[in-house]
Order: sequence, then structure tokens, then C-alpha cells
Amino acid sequence: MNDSSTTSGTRSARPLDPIDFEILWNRLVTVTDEAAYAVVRTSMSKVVVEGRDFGVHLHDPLGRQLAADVSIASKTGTTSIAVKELLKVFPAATLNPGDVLVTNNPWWIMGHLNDVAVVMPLFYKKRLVAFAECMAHMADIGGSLSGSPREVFEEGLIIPPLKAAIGGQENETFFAMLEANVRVPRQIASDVRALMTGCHVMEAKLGEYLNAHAMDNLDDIGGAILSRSEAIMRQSIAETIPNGTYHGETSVDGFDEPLTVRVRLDVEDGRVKVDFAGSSPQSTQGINCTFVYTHVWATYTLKCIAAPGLPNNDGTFAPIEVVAPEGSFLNPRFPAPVKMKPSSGHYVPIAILDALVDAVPKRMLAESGNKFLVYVAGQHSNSKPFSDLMFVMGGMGARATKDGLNCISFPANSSNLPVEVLESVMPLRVQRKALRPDSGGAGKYRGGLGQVFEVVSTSPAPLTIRAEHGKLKTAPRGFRGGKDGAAGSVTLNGKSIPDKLPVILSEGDSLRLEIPGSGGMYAPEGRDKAAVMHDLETGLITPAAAARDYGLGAADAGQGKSDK
Amino acid sequence: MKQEKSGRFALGVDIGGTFTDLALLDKQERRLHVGKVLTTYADLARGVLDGVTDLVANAQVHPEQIDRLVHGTTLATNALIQRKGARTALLVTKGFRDLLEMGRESRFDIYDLELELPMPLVPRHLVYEIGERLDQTGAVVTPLDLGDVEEVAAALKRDAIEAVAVCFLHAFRNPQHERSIRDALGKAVPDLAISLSSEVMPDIREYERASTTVANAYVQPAVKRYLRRLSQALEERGLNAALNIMASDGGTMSMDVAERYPVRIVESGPAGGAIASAHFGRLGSSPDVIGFDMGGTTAKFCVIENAQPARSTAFEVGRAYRFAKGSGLPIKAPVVEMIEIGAGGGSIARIESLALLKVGPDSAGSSPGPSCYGLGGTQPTVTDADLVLGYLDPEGFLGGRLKLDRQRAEKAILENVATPLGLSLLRAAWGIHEIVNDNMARAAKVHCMERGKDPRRFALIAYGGAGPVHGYRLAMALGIQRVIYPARAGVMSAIGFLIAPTSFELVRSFSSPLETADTTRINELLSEMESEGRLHVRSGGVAAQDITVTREAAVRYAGQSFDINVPVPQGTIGAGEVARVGQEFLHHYQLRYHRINPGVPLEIVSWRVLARGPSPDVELAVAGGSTAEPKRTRQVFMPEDGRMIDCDVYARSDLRPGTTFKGPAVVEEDESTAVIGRHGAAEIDSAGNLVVTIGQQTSAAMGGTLAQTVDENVS
Repeated sequence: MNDSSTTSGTRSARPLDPIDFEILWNRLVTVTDEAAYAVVRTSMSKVVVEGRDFGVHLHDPLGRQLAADVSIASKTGTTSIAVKELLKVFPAATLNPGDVLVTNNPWWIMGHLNDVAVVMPLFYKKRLVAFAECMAHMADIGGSLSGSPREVFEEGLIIPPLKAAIGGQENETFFAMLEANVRVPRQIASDVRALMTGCHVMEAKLGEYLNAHAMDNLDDIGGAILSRSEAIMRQSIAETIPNGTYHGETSVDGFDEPLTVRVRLDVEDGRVKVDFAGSSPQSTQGINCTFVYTHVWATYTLKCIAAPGLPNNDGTFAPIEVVAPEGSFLNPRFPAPVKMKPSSGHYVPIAILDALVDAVPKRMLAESGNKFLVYVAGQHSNSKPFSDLMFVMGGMGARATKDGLNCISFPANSSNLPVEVLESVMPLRVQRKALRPDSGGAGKYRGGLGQVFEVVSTSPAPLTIRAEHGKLKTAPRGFRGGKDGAAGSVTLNGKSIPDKLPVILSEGDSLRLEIPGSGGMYAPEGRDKAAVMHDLETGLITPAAAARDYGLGAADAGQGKSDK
Repeated sequence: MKQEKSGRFALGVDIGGTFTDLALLDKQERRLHVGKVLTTYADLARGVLDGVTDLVANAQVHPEQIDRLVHGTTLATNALIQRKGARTALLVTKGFRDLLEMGRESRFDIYDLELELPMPLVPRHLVYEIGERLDQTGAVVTPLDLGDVEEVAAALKRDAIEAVAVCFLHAFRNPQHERSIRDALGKAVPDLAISLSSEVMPDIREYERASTTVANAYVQPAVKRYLRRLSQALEERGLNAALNIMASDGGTMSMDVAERYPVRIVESGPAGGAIASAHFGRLGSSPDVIGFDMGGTTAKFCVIENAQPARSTAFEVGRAYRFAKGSGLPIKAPVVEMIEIGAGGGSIARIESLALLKVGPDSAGSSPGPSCYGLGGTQPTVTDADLVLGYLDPEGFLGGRLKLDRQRAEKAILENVATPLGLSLLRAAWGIHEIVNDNMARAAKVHCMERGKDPRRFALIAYGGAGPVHGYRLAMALGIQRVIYPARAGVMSAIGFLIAPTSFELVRSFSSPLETADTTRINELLSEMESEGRLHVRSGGVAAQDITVTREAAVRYAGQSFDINVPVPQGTIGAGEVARVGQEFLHHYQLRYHRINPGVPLEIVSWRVLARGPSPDVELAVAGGSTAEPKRTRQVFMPEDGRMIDCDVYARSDLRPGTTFKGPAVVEEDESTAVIGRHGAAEIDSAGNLVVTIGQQTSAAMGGTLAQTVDENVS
């Protein structure tokens, strides 16, 4: 233990040189990486372990985020304000070692009740030095499965700011309340405890970190991380996005009528103001996107464009100001229903890319096909109930310098459920899972293809399936002369049905999803002929499309075939 | 089948990226003769044959006296990475033609808009759909359509296909359709190499199984041609011992098995290194070690407990993209578990946005190489920094085969790092050195955390060209107190080959609640797996009575995703044995996670059977010199002093076992140089290993010293 009485955080009197700083910064991020693995290893849910739908963050005593896991968690870019809000309820001075705070407020964390955040004050030498925040998507949070909620109250258990543990002792009342309100109590309680484990690991690893570097607190290094990150982001934006005002928009299907995402970006010397004024009013249905979730996707997009490799912290996002009119579907008022926030939030990046398409031609992608979230609930043959969620991806848009990616979701990332696993865990048989030829918009760079996914129920008992997609009806747009990709559809036994609403499948019923492809980039005339021939040979485009979009004559096409 | 004879010598041959290493063990004298020749890419066998010819001549050994021959080759790996395998087709269940194209539908880097995913080994137009379907229990839903087979056979001939992979849905539960199609195709298209997913990797998850089966088919023709040619050529040179092939999991296989399952030999070189690390750790009384192999481009780690390298059943090949998980082709095959990061002597240092110094993962490789090679490289690398810091002898690099140019190294570091950052040359060089160490420490820490291990209770075994230069500081950054620098580290893998037993591992998916497990089916499955394992080990020349079989069940709490392998007793399994498996699981779970979940049911996920022959006995006589004195001193940078100091330089080959000395010191050998800091106490142990104990560390040193004490005036 260091008994130095220096007032500075580090024992060195001179300022950190760039190399010291780099190492100390990396090591602080590693503290969060280690906590992330503790969460994964102790979680009971596929959505955390396979889907990586969780986040691990370290905050300073003021609630500013200093570091986020970069190894496995997918909620790394989150701009949760849970710590700051919790501190208003439980002032830092009142907190003791071993206290753990918890909440699932959608307006603070990630936009719906399933996301639960656990926050723990971290003490070193008896002084508060940081907050650990671990959050994860819970496999269930109670609420209605049958209809379409009109208020957040119908969407599940609301956890107000509470202490999940007090001085190291679990709050039994909290856990009893939690378990009584969810469908799979053991699993959900285990996952909250996994988040608490993550916090404890962060506490231990942060203690080792401070001790190893003879620091008493994170003040110096934290301040340096924030200011350096902010400076890097500002410079990166300045180098990437010319000053000016840019307008962009896109639409989402909505429920009864399309909703518009409208954005205005004011860029000046490395600072960006992102304003969603003019976007549609909030919906009566659960496709509203709380402001914090709008903020996440706005900052995510600008980071992809300006500084993809920069670690996440509050400094990184400081040069980006995001505003959305209160009462719009991108900043709904409590108690708006918000359960299907992916169906709106995932289009925030599309509007921003649309705005910047001419300003930042080098870091760009056309509109993507996103993904289906498919909820399936029913009974196994042994009458045991089950409830699960899987993802089926559309195409990722063509990029500035290359084709789009087939069956890759943008902006949110996840993995598919292997057919063999799917058929083992639910009474469905997959008839077909295949690329949709011609669904990638034509262009100098072709859009990524979507897929067709067809399942048949093998269950004697009725199955409930709800397939949710944000934008099925209108085609994903091509950019800068690229053609649009193919739109999508849902059909039940050959008849078209709307998405987002639950449908009941009887044994032998067939549900077919066509997931959208994605837009192309630049006019198709510019496409390399060899690339067109290759697409034709591999069947990614049909001869008809080759002729229509690329002017490939029958002679050329024949040449392509004879190559086989 | 050639029989194993009792003879005096055993030979291990490892083809590596730059060199082909040979280790010839004289079992009678307990001596090791080593050889090193350049790897001959155009014809790998030529380098092996030249090396063997030289080595037996130098050691004055008659080839007939060699009774055991173990070989590891990068042939399969290179074919996969360079996409130079056979023209391969894939046959899949109707409706699933895009299995390979779609993969797991996931991005491995969410911020990179320019992301690229690995190209499948089989292009889409060479994937054929066959009418057939099994359900999740393996029952036939749609019978195999042999009409489709005829069409496909014609197409395969037309497309001049050399190798075919077959991967039908749920075939791991019922191989019948895959076998029928092999029979039919075998008749219709002679000389076709056919790999079935139900044999190559009978495990759930169609994409990973297909990817593995395709990789197997893709490399099979070349591996087969190569092994046949090599074994014939060796025989012509009088070397009649059966050719055993090193597998990725640290065991050896007969040539026949390797030809059938070439996907199992992809990671043979690193496996040899891991086996040797375990061996040297045990000799140095450290059964728990972290193997650390740092070369020119990458650093590799493997965790070894109780002298057993950690094993895995999945890895990726051709991870070209920043070493990111998910950027390679997934392969499911038994393998020594390794992590590999882009940190090596050739790793390039550069300044990124706003004065942040980054090192790697890109590498100058061996051409143009580090600036100090004088081969045209101008970017500063780790080797350049190590030279400037005095850790490397410009005259003694690679045993003097390559002269290093210190001025070029200084220039590269000054121009690209020191001047732009406003730092002295030494501070910049030390910064490159410590940042690459920190990158490695971070990867090792996260890897240990992922496995629930605390690196501080392990020893570090440092080898590879750059491993001994960085081992001491890496150990400090990990809180490790003991570093072992094995003797003859330059041919670690080849030595590992000589120690590896003949073995064959099988894993079968079998998911069932523990409580209601069907013991009749389990016994059938286990005995089937055991016979297959024994068959393969016997083909490696091991007598039936020398084969041991160990069995494990992978168990977890129902709903969890991480399982724990629990040993399963020999003999017939009954309800009592199953219950004991459950108790064992709870015991291990408590040990690992410090808690159990009462009331949560357990499930068995899969069974694993490992059949193995005896481990060859390799006790080497101590090769040592006669002195305990340093041969000279030279100027070396020590961060605790913040400057270049006069430092003792020892020649490894001169040192007598039992010699002890204190750091700071440098110990030179042909392939590498061990750099020992001020808190190190070194000893040459009775086995000839250099063992360094890192003493009382100051709290600041625990995490790897920050160079806050660097004297800014020195330059």
C-alpha cells in the first residue's frame, strides 16, 4: 500500500507523458474487460451469453463514463445516464461500500424495461473513487404478451431506483418483488446477480490497478482520458466532416402509418449538433424510442464515421450534442409504450448517413435491411412452456468502396440461431433459409442481399409468433445513384400478413419471412464487369437483373455460364 | 502398416513459417541433436529431406536406428490461409444452399463500416442441394433422393471437382444419408476425396460443422499427396520408421488418420510448443505455466495446468483482420487452446490520432523487416526498439547470421516516434517496448479471466525469437514471479513432438437432463466412441494393451452456456455413475465460481472420449557449459535506473547448471536473448533451464513499471 501523502493521483509530480498515458488508459479499459467476462460466465441467458446484449462501464464519482468494455459486450457505445440519475436519488455521500443500486428506467438506460442496470460505488482506501455500472437485456421482464401495449405500465415490471444490496447484503424484498413479476424468475434473478458479480470484479480489479500504479484515485487519469478523448473526437470530426448544415431523413413503417425520422446536423470545427426536429410525434404503440436510445444511435453513427477505433467514454461523445423534440417518437414522454424501440431507434443512423452522404463520401453506407426479431412462445410436446427470441438478418448496405454484406444487420449487431439448435429448442421446422437473389440494390457497389426464411410448425399445440421489423414495406434506399434493395414481407400459408403483431400457428402452418436486402452505392453503370459476371455466376443476381441493371447482354451472360 | 520398432533414436520434424526444425533424440545417451534448415515453400518435403540428411550425417546416425518419427507441417494451414487447396464442392440439404455464405450473420467489429467477412472456401455456385431431410432426433423426414445424386455427379465431373464435403442438417445424429451419398458418388466419380460432416466433426451447429468439413476436404488431396511422397522419400533414405503426424491437440496420429482428417493437423506447430512448455514446466517444478511464444509477427499464449495444456474444440484460421475473433473461418477440431495477438519483433510502432503511440498489430514481417535489418524497412518496430535499448547484440542476432544496423533503428524511432511526441530516443524506444508488453499482458489477462484463472499463480515459459527478450517485463505486468527460459528453445515444437503421445479425441453432442439420462444409449455411444478412438491409436503403432481411454461429460446448469468437463469413470455407466457426474460438476463449479445454484437442474451437453498411447520418455541429460561467469558487459537500458547501464552478458551455452546470478543481466543464445531486470534472481537448474525469480516488486512495478523515472537527458 502506498502511504504517499501527495495530493495528486499519481505519485509522479511531472505530467503523464503520452506513453504513460496510453498504458494507463489501456489498463483501465482492461478493468472493464475483466468484469465483462465475469458477467458472461455467470449469466443464465442466451441473450447475454450468445447475443452479448449487455454492457460494462466505469464512471467517475460524478457519474461521467471513463471506460467501457471493448472485448465482448455489445452495449459498449451506450450513453446511459443511469448513474447520474441514480445519484440524484441516492447522493454519493450517502452511499457505503457494498451498496448496489438498480433500476430499469427506459428513459435512463437503453430504451425499454428489459434493460436492467446495476450500479455500485467503488471505494479505495475508504474513499469513493468510481462507479461500476453493469447492464443487460433480461430474457423476460413480465408484462403483456398478447396485445400491443399502449403504456409502459403494460410492458412489464418497472424497477424504480432501489438498492439491490445494502452494505454487501442482498435486499431480499427487491429480489422477491423481481421474481414474482417475471416468467422465468430463477433465470432473471441469476442474471441480476451476474451483473452484481461484474461490479464486484470491477471493484477488485480497480483496486489492483490503483495499487499497482500508486494512485489514490482516478482524478488525474480520468480527467486526461475525458479531455484527450474529446480532443481526438473533435479533431476526427473536423478532419472527416466539413463544416456546414446537413439534412437527412428516412421513414419507418410504424403501425398504422409511416413515421419519419428527420435530422439536421450542424457541424462546426469538430462539434456536431444533431437535431431531430420535424420527426413524427410519439406513437400510441410501443415503437417509441426514448431519448437516451436516440442518443446512443446518433453518437454511434458519428463515431463510425469519424473515429471508429476510439474507446468509448463521455469525452468521446462530448463534441456531439443531440436534441429531439419532446413528444416526438424519438423523445417520447412517460408513460409512452417503448417495448419495440429497436423498430424505430435502428433508423436513427440511417437518417444521419442520409444527411452526410455527400459530405462524407468516403465513410458511407447505403440503407440496410436491418433484421427481424422473431419472438416464439408455446409448449413443447411434454407441455413444458417455452418462450424465446431469434434474429433473422437482412442485408447491410453497399459501402463507399465495396459491396454491402449479405445477411448482416446494421446498425444493431447480433447472431443468428443455427437451424439445428432452433429445431432442437422449439417445435418448428425450417424449410428454407436462403439468400434472396436480386435483393441487393444494383450499383457500382452492390447492396448486401437479404434472405428468405420459411418455417413450419410441428407442434400439435398452437404456437404464438411475433415477427418484428422496423421497415418492411418500403425498400432500403440506394445512395449516390445506387438502386434500392428489395423490400420485405411476412406471409402465413401464402397470404400476406402485417408484421409486429402476434400470429397463431397450428401444426403444419407455414410462416415465410422475406427480409429486405439493402441499397447500392453509385450508379450501376460504374460496376466492374467482372464483378457483374461473378454475381451472375454465383447466382446473387439473375440474368434478367444483369440485363436490366447492368446492361449485360445475352452474349455476356452466356459467357458467364460457359465459365462453369 | 509399418510397425513401431525398438530403436535408439526418435526424430521430430516441425515445418515452421521460416525454418524447418529438427530434433533427434538419442534415447540411450539422453542427448538431443538439433537441426534447422530454411523452409522450402515450393516443395516442403525437400527441406525436410535435406534437413534429415544433414542431421543424421552430423549426428553420425544410421537412419535405420530411428524408430519413431513425428512430423508437423504447415501445409494444411498454408493451403487454407492462401486459398491454395483443392477445387472443392459442398453438398447440403435442399433449401440450405447458402449455409456457408450466411455464416452466423454477425459482425465482429460494430464500428467498422468497411468490415469484410471471410470468403467461404467453396463459392456459392459449387454448392449443390440434395433432396433429403432429417429432423432434430435424426429421424428421416424426407428420404435421400438418389436422382439428385446422379445429377450432382455429372456436375462434379463437369466442374472438375477434386474434393467434396457433405453436410446435411442433423447428420451428426444420423449419418446414414451422408454415407449413402458417399457410396453413390464414390462409384460415379472415382478419385474424388469425400469428407462427411458426420465423421469429420459430428457436432451440432450446421455452419461450424460445414465450415470444418469443407476445410477438411479442401486440404485433403494436397496433404495426402505430400505425406505419401514424404514417407516414400524417407523410406528411400533408409528411414523406415512409421511416419506419425502431430495433431493440433498435442497428440500424434498415424499417417492414415491424418490423411482422413487433415483438419486436425492445422495447429500442429503451436501444439508442439505447448507440449514442450508443459514438459519444461514440469521439469522446472512448475506444473502450472503460461506458455509464451513471441516471434516476428505474433505472440501466442497457452495456459497449462498440471502439465496439461488447456484444450478446446474450436478455433479459427486465416484471421487476417486485426486478429479479431470472428474474422476467420471457424474450425471445430480438438486443439490446444491458444490466443494469438499481433505482437512480435516486427510489430510496427506508429502515432495515431493526437499523439497516442500504438504498436502492432501490423508487422514489417521478415521482408522488408525491421529498419535495423537494412532490407528496406523504414518504420520503427519492436526489434528496432529492443536493439536501441541494448537488449539485442547487433553482431549476435540469429547467431550472427543477420547483422543489425543500430543507426537505422535510431533513425526510424527518432523520426516516427520520439520527435513527433517530443520524447528522447530512449524514452520512445522504451515506450515501444513497454506498450507491446502491455498489449500482450492485456490479451493474456483477458484470456485468463475468460477461463476463470488468475495469472499470478502461474510461471511463464518464454520462447520464440522475441519471447525471452520480453518475458521478464511481461511477467511483471501480469504479476507473475517466475520465468522459465527453456534450454533449446529454438526447436521447442520439434521437441514437443517427441514427447507427444499417439492419441485420438472424439466429441459427440448428446443433450439430456442429467436426472433422466438414458444410460443404455450413453453406454452404446461411449463404447462406439471408444472403439473408434482405439482403432485410430492402434493405427499409430500402439499396442492394444498400451492404450488408455479417458472419458468426460460436458455438464452445465440447464440454461447456461458454459459447461464444465467432468471426468467419467471407466466401465458401464449406471444411475450411480450419472449421479456422481452431477456431484463432480457441483464440486468443480463451486471451485471455479465460488457459488452453486441450489435447485437448478443439470444437463449433459456432450461426451468426450480420448484414447491415447503412452507418453514417450524424454529425459535429457543436462547439456551445460563449465563456467558461471559473464563473458562481457554491455550497455543496456534498465527502466528502474532510467538510463543505459553496464550490464553483465552471459553466454547460455557456457553456463554450468547450478549457476546463480542476479539481474540486471542479459543471457545470449543463438535464437534469442533473455533480458533480466534488476529484481530478477537467475539460476540454471539441473535440467539446463534458465529460471528467473522476480523478487520483491515495488507497488509501481507490479503493473509493469511506468517509465516515470526515465532520465530525459539521456539520448
